Amino acid sequence: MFYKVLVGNEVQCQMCFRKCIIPEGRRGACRNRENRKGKLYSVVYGRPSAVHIDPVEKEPQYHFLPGSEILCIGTAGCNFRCRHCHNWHLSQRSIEEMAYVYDLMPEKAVEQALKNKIPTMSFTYNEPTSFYEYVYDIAKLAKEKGLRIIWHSNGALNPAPLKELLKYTDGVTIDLKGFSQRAYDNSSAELEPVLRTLKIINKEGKWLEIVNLVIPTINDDLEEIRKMCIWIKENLGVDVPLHFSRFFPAYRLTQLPPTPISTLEKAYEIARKVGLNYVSIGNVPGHKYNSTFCPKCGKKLIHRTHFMVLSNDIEDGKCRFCGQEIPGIWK
Amino acid sequence: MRLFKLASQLFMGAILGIFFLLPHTGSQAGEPSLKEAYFYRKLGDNETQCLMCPRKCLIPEGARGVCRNRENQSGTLFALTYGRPCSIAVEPIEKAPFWHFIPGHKRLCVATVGCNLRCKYCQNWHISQKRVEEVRHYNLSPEEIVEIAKREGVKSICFTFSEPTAFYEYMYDIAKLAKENGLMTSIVSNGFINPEPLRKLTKVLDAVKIDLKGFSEDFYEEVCFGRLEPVLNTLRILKEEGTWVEIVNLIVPPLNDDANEIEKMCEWIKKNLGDEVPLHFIRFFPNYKLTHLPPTPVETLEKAIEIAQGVGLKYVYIGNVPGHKYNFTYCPKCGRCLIKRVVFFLLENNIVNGRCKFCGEKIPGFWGRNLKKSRGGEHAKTREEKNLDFTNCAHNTGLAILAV
Ligand code: SF4
Ligand SMILES: [Zn+2]
Ligand SMILES: [Zn+2]
Repeated sequence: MFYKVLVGNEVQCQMCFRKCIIPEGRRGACRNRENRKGKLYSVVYGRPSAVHIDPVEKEPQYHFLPGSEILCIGTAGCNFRCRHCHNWHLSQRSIEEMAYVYDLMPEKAVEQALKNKIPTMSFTYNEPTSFYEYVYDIAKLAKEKGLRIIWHSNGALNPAPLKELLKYTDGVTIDLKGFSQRAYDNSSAELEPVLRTLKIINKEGKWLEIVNLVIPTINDDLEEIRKMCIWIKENLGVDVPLHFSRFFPAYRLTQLPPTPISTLEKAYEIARKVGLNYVSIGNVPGHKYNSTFCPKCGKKLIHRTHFMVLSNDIEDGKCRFCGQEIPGIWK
Repeated sequence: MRLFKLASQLFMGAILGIFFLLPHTGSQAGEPSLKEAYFYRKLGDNETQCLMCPRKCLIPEGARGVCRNRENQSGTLFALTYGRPCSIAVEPIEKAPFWHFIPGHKRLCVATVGCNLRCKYCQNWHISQKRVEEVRHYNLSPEEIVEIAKREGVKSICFTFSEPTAFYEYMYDIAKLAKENGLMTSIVSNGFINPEPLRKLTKVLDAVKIDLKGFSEDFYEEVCFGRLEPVLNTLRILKEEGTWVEIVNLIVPPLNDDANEIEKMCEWIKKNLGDEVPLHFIRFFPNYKLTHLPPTPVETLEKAIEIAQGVGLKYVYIGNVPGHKYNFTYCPKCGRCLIKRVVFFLLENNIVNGRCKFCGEKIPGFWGRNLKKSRGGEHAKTREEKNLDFTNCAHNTGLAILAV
């Protein structure tokens, strides 16, 4: 889906911001889309390399059926080159280099979810944009069967495929990898398309949560974080949950230390001060701000330890204590 | 009419006179060793990312970028066409078209294969859309190019025909050397380049001609497979750096001849670059993948001129219509004709010391005698140029042949 044919069997992929021009026999930057005789094929369709059952908190989605399970699917490939990637063995490899490749066509995948009574299917681990056709077909089918669909993405896909997929989407988690081109250079990518995506998801009224992985020296400038929070407030509103996530050395950034917890807490304070209602700290198990608090009465609404929900005081989408409405998908 | 006849006679002469300056040395001279690319980064696992143009191609081992000129060999990115020009020609500067850049002087044109865009109407696709292996080329180092320029007695070296950004390293090294040797330098480019390499390049360039192919993202997207915004950014940077710029807008009906769009473009130019930037509306002739479209009606071009003048641009031209009155430069103050050109020949030049001979109005550009704008131009000859003998015109640009 989404490509143009040029002269001499060249094609231009229209899926993500890169718009790779791909000569015959080659693949795009995501390593998943191959030009065979002037037609662009997805080489990972129906061939996931990771299929797991996770808690929805791991996505992370904090305002989405708390404590429920999701069936997660990932393949090889990604259109980014994040030097800190935690899933590089999937995302930064081609399908031929995978330790596992399963044969799981969309019907079978949906069947798995139904059989295990999992209410939601999720596309995560690597970049769903890079296996879009597979995501799209599963999502369409799953919606027919009454399942919910969420995905976790870097958000750098183009408006047309985005809007098409949102038709069959309930919730999205977007990694906002910083708020400067410099931060995005660390991923060999660009900020602008991600902001465009955030606005579209918001406008289409789909549930959106944002993750900001704070990496020392790369994107931990507090002024930059403030600017990001203000942008979110002005463009998406104060009710979009924002997760500050802790970085641990990985892949090509092993020389950096883990993010100091104090940095995350400072970021938290900034975001709250700017006026964002739902801010949390992730990847720090047991931290107070793993939990969700009511923006009105300040009481703890969802008590989490890491990915585990210990208590939930949201009733009918409202704070049980003060009646404040809490946005999200609760049932 | 008389001018027209003269022009076609001269043109026939030029065509018959086409010959290559040099024999193709091919492989017998030995292939030059590979040049490592400027402006790229290594990502690990032997992958590279080119940072030269807005595509920022991710190039795995063994592959090339979209321009077909930059290849990753074992994790190092190489400029494949460095020292391998496929076109070398001596031509009048008017043909670029540069019409405010020492009228009538001869330039040495240098090009290799390759381009980072995919315009459906490309006039030079036989070099721009080819790989280096597919086209015969010379082996010439930057030193040798500058030697040729001196031997041919040209005033400037111009990088043109294909996209110079695609052979940046070669262009940059030649331009730098040319400046050191008292030659002037110019490029004809689509402007699809990143700010950093562009700024570095402006240090060794005197004049830039940018193809502004349209004024909508849709046009760039659909017809050129590129983007408009980076090109506008290039124009802004050139203005900032004080580089002499002329803009060309090829009008291809019905794709980019919308009057509103042309007006918006003119307004953008006036606001961001000023009213003294020469703007050339060029007539399209069916070519490459757009052979089904008719040539641009001359009235469309004249309409565009009216729009540009209405917006207040002072120097607007019509190109690729030999003998048209908007091939001439007029004084924006007294309205007299300052420079008469027919096709690419200079017939009359009434600019003296950078001013209108009649009323003294200052005319922007490089004028040969008054070289204040030029940074390395003291070498330029001061005698009046009336250069009609250009039998050295080699390598057609498509444009020239069609104009006959
Ligand atoms: S210059 Fe060539 S290789 Fe580099 S980004 Fe542009 S098209 Fe890609
Ligand atoms: Zn409350
Ligand atoms: Zn005058």
